[in-house]
Amino acid sequence: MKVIFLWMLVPILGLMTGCAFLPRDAGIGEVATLVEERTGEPLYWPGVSLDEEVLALRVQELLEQPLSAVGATRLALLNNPSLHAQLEDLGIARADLVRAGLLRNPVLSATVLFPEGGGRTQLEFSLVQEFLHVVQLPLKRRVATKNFEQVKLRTADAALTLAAETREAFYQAQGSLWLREIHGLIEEVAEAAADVAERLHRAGNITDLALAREMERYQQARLAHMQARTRQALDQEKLAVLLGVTQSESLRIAPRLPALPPAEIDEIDLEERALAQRLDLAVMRLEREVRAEALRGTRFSAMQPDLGLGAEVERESDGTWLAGPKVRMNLPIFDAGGSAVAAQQGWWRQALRQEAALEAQIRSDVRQAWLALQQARAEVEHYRQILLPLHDQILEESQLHYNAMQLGVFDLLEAKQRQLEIGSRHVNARRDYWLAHSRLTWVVGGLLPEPVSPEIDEDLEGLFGTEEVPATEPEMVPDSHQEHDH
Amino acid sequence: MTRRQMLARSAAVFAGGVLLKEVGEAQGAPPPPSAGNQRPGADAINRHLPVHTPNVENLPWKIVDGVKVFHLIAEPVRHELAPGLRVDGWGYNGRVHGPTIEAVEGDRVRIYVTNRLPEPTSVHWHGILLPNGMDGVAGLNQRPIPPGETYRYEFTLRQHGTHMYHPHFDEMTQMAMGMMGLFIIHPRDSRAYRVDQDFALLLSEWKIQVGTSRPDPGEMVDFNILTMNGRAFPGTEPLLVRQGEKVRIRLVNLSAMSHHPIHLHGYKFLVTATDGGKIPPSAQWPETTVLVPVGSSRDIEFNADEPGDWALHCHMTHHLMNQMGHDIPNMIGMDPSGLDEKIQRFLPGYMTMGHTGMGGMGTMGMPVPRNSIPMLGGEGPFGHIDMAGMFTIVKVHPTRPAPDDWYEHPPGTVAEPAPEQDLRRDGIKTG
Repeated sequence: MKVIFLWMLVPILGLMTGCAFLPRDAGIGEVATLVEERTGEPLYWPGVSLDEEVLALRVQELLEQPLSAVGATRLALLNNPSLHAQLEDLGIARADLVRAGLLRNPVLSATVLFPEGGGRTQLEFSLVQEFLHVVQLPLKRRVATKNFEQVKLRTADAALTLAAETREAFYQAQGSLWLREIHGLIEEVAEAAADVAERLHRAGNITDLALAREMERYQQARLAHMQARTRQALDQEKLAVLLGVTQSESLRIAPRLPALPPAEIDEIDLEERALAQRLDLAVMRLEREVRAEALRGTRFSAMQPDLGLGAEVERESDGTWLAGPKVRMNLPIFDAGGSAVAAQQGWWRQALRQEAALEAQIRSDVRQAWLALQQARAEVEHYRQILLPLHDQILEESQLHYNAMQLGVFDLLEAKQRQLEIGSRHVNARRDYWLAHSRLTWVVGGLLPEPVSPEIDEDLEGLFGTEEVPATEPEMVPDSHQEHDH
Repeated sequence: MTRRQMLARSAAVFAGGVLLKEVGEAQGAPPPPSAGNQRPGADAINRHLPVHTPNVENLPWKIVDGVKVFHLIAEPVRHELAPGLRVDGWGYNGRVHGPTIEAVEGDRVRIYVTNRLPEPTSVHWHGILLPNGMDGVAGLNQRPIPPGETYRYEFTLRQHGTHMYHPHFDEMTQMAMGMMGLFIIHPRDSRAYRVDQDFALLLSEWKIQVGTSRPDPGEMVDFNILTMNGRAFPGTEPLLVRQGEKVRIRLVNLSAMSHHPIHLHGYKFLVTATDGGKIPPSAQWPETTVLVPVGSSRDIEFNADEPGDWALHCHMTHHLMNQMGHDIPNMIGMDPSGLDEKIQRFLPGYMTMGHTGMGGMGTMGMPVPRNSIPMLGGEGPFGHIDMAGMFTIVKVHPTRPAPDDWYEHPPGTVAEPAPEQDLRRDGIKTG
């Protein structure tokens, strides 16, 4: 009997040692590397890879400066509570992986039988270890390892998605901040026109109708400014949630969308880069591998899901002990396992197709995002090089014609207002460029191959009269890591 | 050749013969065929006092077989209407308006007209009595002169007076572009109607949008440049007179749409002639302002006995502006306090204008659109003259003045700030 037990323990102990391959940090190091390679920003697991207090200090530091897109991304990766929640998946997956490495516990069953009319009780003991589990343990462990890899990739992908959403929300908020400023100026111009109209009306020079028309224009401008203020507050609110900032009004955002990078992004290799970098695709590939592994063990496990080996010890009522091996197995009369195999094959092929579909989708997404980026760049350049200078000239000439008393004060103010309106459309175009840029970054699955972008272009500041532009952090420095914490 | 044409020809030959005889008597020797800018001065061709057209030259001519031969070339011309405003107009012989044609009653004139315009043209000799086929109305009296071609007009002058020439093909466009000129015919008897100074002023109006250089022939109402001899003040050349001279000013109006009441300061004058001829002395009417209708001429005469620098101008006040804008809000009387600071926040060049009136706008020196004179008046001896456009100065000085001489007033003859003691003496309360 002892011999049998020992014989059974050998493989069990052998398999138990499998825990040694598990990463000590539950893979956060790998995840952080994946994220940093793709965003240029570090990722920490609060309380695990970074002390909570240190983290709070870094958050505080970032919030003290007016935020740029880079700062916002860094802040979101540091501070977004949903991402923190997702990081816990790593711990859970690690535990799952440990569990997958363990043998299922053997089942002990005991029976006591009382003979009719008294006498010694009859005892039966059996110990059964599920055999299938023992046989498939290496397979299961391989699957579990891949699953753990998937969790790491998914976690990193979640961080990338958060970074993309943050960038997008940031550019929206930055754009609406600028637009709010322009609409404030438009209101100021319209208010001046209304003021002139009131003065002229008091002097007896214009009709009630003309006054009402000027008032209507002013009130329209006020409404637009009001809308721009609300839009800005909402955009800031959305950004604050992503940044994990609870006091959204305390956020300070650099007030100008950055200028465009001087060079266009080369379309060549972008698709290949995306296929290599996209983590959701990597997850999909692993899924296909998992399915392939699963398919290997299916036929046997489908036929004998309950195969168990063990030993049984029995004391007869006469006191004699009996002992012997025990087998438990299915008789494949009704279910020979063919359907389970078919299902597994289906899943495997499905994973294969899904991977192909995702690849095609990624390629197309990259091309679409690149086209959108080109279009956005063309629009911004059209505003910057053609429309804005034209409106500057129109305003300048309008001033001359006003001086020459060929245009009245209302015409002059209207020219200023139209210049500001074109300015606001330019801001929209510039915001769309950065949204497209962010989108392309996301669909390519990592940083774009482009040179460092310049600072804000000065020639646009003329639009805003006396408004001061606060200094901003350097914007989007993909290839420079020196300022990051490692 | 029809009988009628033959008759006309023989009449022309006959008239030419008469003219030849007269000219021969008058000039002694014929001028060289390629005569330059000649004037028939009192000592040259005849004894007639030459007419002086300020800012305009007289058309050269030559005598060929007793016929006075002129050559007008209709062509695009770049012309300065006043300092700071040049226009791309159409004119004659490189000028806007065309040079003055000067001749004598009885002259046989042959005028070649070459068309260098992009469209056909013709010339109508306005007010001149001539054969119907010489009258120049395209389509009615002749075929239009195509671009590149030269037509010949020839007729004998049967009258004397103040006349003009202008196109009668697409006249609305061509006159708006500047095509017109004076045609002065002196009486055969040079002793009749003598004056000491004989001036001619051709009045016209233009639409030149501020910042452009092309007259707009489409304008019907809102003309913004009003000229004398194709010049707007301060571009007009003054009329220079020695005190005591008898002065004639021939006023001719070829404006598109405006009659001009021309007012002379300092004198009363007599209207002595129209484009229909001399007015008998008994019918001459004393005036200080003479209305010159569109397409008419009026000669006025006066004795320049009162010295000074006297204004001569159209009395329609909007004709005393250069490129005035009419579509701006009426600012007068508006309270501007704090407004400039407010608007300068986003328009640094802004200044409220017109709320106290528009005087002195020409002195502000504010930048204006290129090639425009919206604010320009002229400088006078007492500061800025706030008038422009159809304005000039008749300078009557004890000795014949130079163009930029100003009259020196005897002491006590200039309006000055009223002395306090005078106000008290006369019981004038100003507070």
